[in-house]
Amino acid sequence: MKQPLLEVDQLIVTFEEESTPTLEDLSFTVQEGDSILLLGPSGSGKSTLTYCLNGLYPKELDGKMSGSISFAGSHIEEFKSGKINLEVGTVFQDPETQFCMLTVEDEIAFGLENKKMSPDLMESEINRVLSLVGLQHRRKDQIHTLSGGQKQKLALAAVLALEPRLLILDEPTANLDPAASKDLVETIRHLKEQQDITLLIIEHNIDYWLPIINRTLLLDRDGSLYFDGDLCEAVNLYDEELQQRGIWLPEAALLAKQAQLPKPWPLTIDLLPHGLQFQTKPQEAVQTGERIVCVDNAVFRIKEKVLLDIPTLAIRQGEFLAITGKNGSGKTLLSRMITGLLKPTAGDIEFLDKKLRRWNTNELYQQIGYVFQNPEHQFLTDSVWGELAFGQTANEEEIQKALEEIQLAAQAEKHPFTLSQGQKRRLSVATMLVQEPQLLVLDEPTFGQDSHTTEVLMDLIWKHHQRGCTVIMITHDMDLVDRFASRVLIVDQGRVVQDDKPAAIWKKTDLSVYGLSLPAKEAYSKQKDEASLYA
Amino acid sequence: MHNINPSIKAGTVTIAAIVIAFLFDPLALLLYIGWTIAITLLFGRVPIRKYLLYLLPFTMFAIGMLVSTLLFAKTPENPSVTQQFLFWELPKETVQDALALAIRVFSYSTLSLLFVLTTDKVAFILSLIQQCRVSPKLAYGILAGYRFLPLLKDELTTIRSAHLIRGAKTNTSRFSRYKQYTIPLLASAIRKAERTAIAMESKGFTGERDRTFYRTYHTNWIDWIFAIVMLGAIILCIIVSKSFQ
Repeated sequence: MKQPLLEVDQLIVTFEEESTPTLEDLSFTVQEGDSILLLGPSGSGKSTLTYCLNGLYPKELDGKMSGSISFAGSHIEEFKSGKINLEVGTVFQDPETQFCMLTVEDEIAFGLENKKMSPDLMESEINRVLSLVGLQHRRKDQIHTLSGGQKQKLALAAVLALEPRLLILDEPTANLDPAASKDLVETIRHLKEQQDITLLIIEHNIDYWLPIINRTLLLDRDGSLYFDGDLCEAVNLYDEELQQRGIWLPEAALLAKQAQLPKPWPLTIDLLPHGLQFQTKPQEAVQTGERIVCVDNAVFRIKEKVLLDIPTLAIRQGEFLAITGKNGSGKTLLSRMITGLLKPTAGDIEFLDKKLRRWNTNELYQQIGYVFQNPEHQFLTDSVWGELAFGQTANEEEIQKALEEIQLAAQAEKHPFTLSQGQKRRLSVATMLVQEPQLLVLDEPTFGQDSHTTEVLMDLIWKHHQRGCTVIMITHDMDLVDRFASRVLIVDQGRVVQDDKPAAIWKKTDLSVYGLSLPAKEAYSKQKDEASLYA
Repeated sequence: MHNINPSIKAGTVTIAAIVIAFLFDPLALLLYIGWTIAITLLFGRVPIRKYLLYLLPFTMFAIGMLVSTLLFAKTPENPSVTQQFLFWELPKETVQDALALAIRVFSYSTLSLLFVLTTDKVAFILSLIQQCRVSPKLAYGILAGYRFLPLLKDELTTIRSAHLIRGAKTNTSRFSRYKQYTIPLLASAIRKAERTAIAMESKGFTGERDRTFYRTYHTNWIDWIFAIVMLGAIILCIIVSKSFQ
């Protein structure tokens, strides 16, 4: 058998302040040319493993590390400082914080300089890697003018310039919208065809990576490995375990499960059999009441650029409104304008038949709740309990009940900043709900969350919606829209381009124009309809 | 101007500023100001409107200095020797002190503008590594931090709205409000810094001097001519000024 490119043997990592190891007795090998998907719930030590593999640990580690990692036959600690990073390249999840230079070409040159490449050769090397990711036209541009997806491509190009033999992708799509994610995966698939690069993909979204991966590793909450093999086998063997751990099953497997199809379940929708029946939630007629929000000729401009132009928009009490569209289309601006956080340049907005600017701020925000993308921004106190009690008339019993609803009763005394990502998100939504607002606005509440947190959140939001709360939710997740929303707005370039019931939108709109895709069920029936048409 | 080695430019400007600190002759200073402005506009390709706009706050500051020195001057030793200044009859000593101070402030401004308006920030930092042997660890750290500034501003706006929504008291004192914003801002800044550091290290950055440079900066005879001309001009200004007196 040929020598593996990477060999991890009995790796155990324990952080100083933790009593149990973050990575528990991990052993696996990676062969040259492999494309491995590493799936694990949040907190299972995926990022820790990344740092071990590219040599940052044990150097930067506050804690203990035992076991061995070998790269191409030699022990990873035998590599000189900085050398292993040239063999193992990493793309991280946050597109904002991976760069230290100001322009695209300088950023790529930064890696080449670290590699001590002669400056005469850099010119052609920069062109080479930029054309691999399709960014050659942005070469001289400032990095901050790139979109999130382009930044991730640049991060990829900067790493490719080092010509690593192993490329680690640490949740590279976690901060991208579906269109940009697909584009990035397509770029990587193309790359994989051109040069036989070895990939280790750490992700929680399986669907994007289906065309690339050849092997799957499953990591448990305690940082131990419990499966190493084919993805289809993993999904069929461990579907329950994966779901319990908050990992999203592939869409097709989820549909098969819903339709109670006998195993083995396929991984892609086109492999599902014809005529599956799904349980659909009874679409009760939405009880809508008075107008709660009314927009009249509102425009928002910065200098001469029109960022938002909403001639007319009425939202009624009891609606569950989903706002969707590409990144940068103006969804967040629209939601902030409706809630008075952003003053329109021209035009008027009424809330409960009273102009926003005539409202007293404190009274207004007793009626309106707004959940921001980053939950940390909203925390004001130093305990979870304090957050829920802040400025509320709620008594202890109600707060306790709210804590249990979001499954944080055990963390009541902790500082909000020390919670996990999913816990923070649940807390930030709950702080808005204890005041029982009339209108709740959520900016991508389930974005980047595991399936467990998503379920808890949606239950909570749905419960308050049933109580009579009007909900406005910005999201890219069309399955959620399909399940919950009573009305969908698609925003594009600062304008509302579609405004209808979800079912009608799925039928009449080409969603791909707006960087969106159909919900799994609709995609399935559409595909089967087309298949029977050609049969 | 833009092609002059940034490190030499910075050195020249600094030395010129130090020399000026010991120069009390208002006429010589005025001549040197004229010289600096001329060099900036002629060789720096700086649009004159932009230049005047930048110069405006400095001018106000210099005028402010002049007025306050005139008003709050120490008692002159020879109050009888007076001089006509605009509409007032003031002790000559006071006027001279005030003028020298205001003009010196103004001359510092023109020197700083000469540097700032004709120098690329990245080029300056890279040249500091290459010519002045500044540690790459420090220099690339500054560059990475520079990228964060606009991000921090956006974040502050968001935190402000987020707290408003929560019903956090906005009518409290400025100080306690800033305290309230600081913790989330710091928390995210530290996390961002850590991520950037990790990303830099995983591109093979070690902080050692032993690296190549895509943009290399050399010093050649033009840079030295610039330094000599700029510093020589001070002496020339002094001589010319003396010949008028």
